[in-house]
Order: sequence, then C-alpha cells, then structure tokens
Amino acid sequence: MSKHLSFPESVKAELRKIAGEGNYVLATEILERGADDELVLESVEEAQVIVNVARVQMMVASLKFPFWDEDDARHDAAHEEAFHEVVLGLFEKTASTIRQDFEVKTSI
Amino acid sequence: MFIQIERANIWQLYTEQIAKDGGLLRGGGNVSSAKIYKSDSDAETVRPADFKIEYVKSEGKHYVLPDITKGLSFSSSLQRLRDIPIPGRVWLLPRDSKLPEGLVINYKTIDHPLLNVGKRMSMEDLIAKLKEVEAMMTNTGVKI
Repeated sequence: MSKHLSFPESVKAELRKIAGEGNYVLATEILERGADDELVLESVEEAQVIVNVARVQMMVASLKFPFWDEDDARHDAAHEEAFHEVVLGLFEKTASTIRQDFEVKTSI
Repeated sequence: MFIQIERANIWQLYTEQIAKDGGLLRGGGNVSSAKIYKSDSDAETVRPADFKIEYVKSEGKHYVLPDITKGLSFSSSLQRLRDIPIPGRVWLLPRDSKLPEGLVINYKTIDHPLLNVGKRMSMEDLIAKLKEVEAMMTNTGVKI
C-alpha cells in the first residue's frame, strides 16, 4: 500500500535534480510521483532508495568540504557552512521524514 | 498525522520521561552557535525546507506562514541525533524554557519536534524570535 509523506517541496526538488543528473533511474521514478510537497513510497525498499540519495550527498559533502570541523587544524568556515547546508537541509529532512514511517538505514 | 503544541504546553508533553536529556536537542551546531538561522551575505534568513516562506512583492518583504508539517528540527534525545547521524555540536533548549510568543512545536512522531510559527509573521520578526531561542540554548559539549 502506498504511503504519502508530507515532505518539503524544496528538498524534493533538490533530490529530483540530483537523481535526474545522476541517472538514478529508480529514484527518479519514485520522485516523479505525487504532489511537489509529498513523497509517495510503495515499500521500505523504495524508502531506502530515496534515503540513499541523501546519504550519497552527505558523503559527497564530506569529500568536498573535509575541513568543516572546527576542531580540525585546517578548519575552513566556508567548508563548515557548505557541509552543514547539506546536513541540516537535504540530509536531515530526508532521513528524519522517512525514518518516521519506514525502518531505513540512515547512517553513513 | 501532525500535531501542534502551543508554547505553554511544550514541557507538559516533553517531560523528563520523554525528553530525558534535559530538554530538546538540536544537532549540527558549532562551538559558538546552534545555527538555527542563517546569516547570508545580505540578510539573515531561514531554510525553505524548515519554513513556508512567501515573498510579498509590493512590500519587498518575506513572510513566514504556519505549516503544521514543517519546522526547525529538534530531537527528544541525543541518541536519535547519533543514530541518524547529525554531525556537529549538540545544543540544548533546556526544559522549562519559555518560547517567544508566536512560536509553536509541530510533530508527527514525538521524537522529532519541529519549531515553527503559529501565526504569519515577517522574516525579521521570526529571526528576532529565533535569536531569543538561541540565547536560551546551551552547548552540551557533545560532538557527533
């Protein structure tokens, strides 16, 4: 049975763009469903696909902005801002929203 | 289903049994800030992922609208922030803190409270209220 989850429109648009550009076929198909401010998920496997897009973005952010941590000797404020934009935006909202309804792996 | 709690009733819900770590927690901060609003080069603002924002062209101003499904993410426990995980410093909104007028908590599952507006207000007003909230928050010293 489908589950319709309220989901931030801006985050869905961002996920859809990433999935399209990366040719993430199943993620694109799932993200084309429903209104702009909802996710329509058919199964825990589909839920995990969408969470995986967010997890990959977290990994990419940690590779692009490795000096985000202020305890790092090479701390860079621009890295910190860019990294946390992904953490507190796309990643946190995707992981938090989906894990309320599905048992998915969110850790990196 | 989402539920909205008025500011006066928050700590009746988030009791010591529900929020065992001293209050409500927020991850992703740094040593000096809980980062609950953004300081861009030209303005202080919030994320559209957290708040419903409208731009009124005639006034040249942004307003924030109530939306029970949205809000600034907090957590009822430290373990939840570790499990997701949310990297960065963890900040605490201590139990019995009194939220500024016009702010509410929304939630779908009780472990994920969302701080939002209960009535339409200008972005400037929201930022001022978020600064009040941030001033109430303390750095737990925990880093994820």
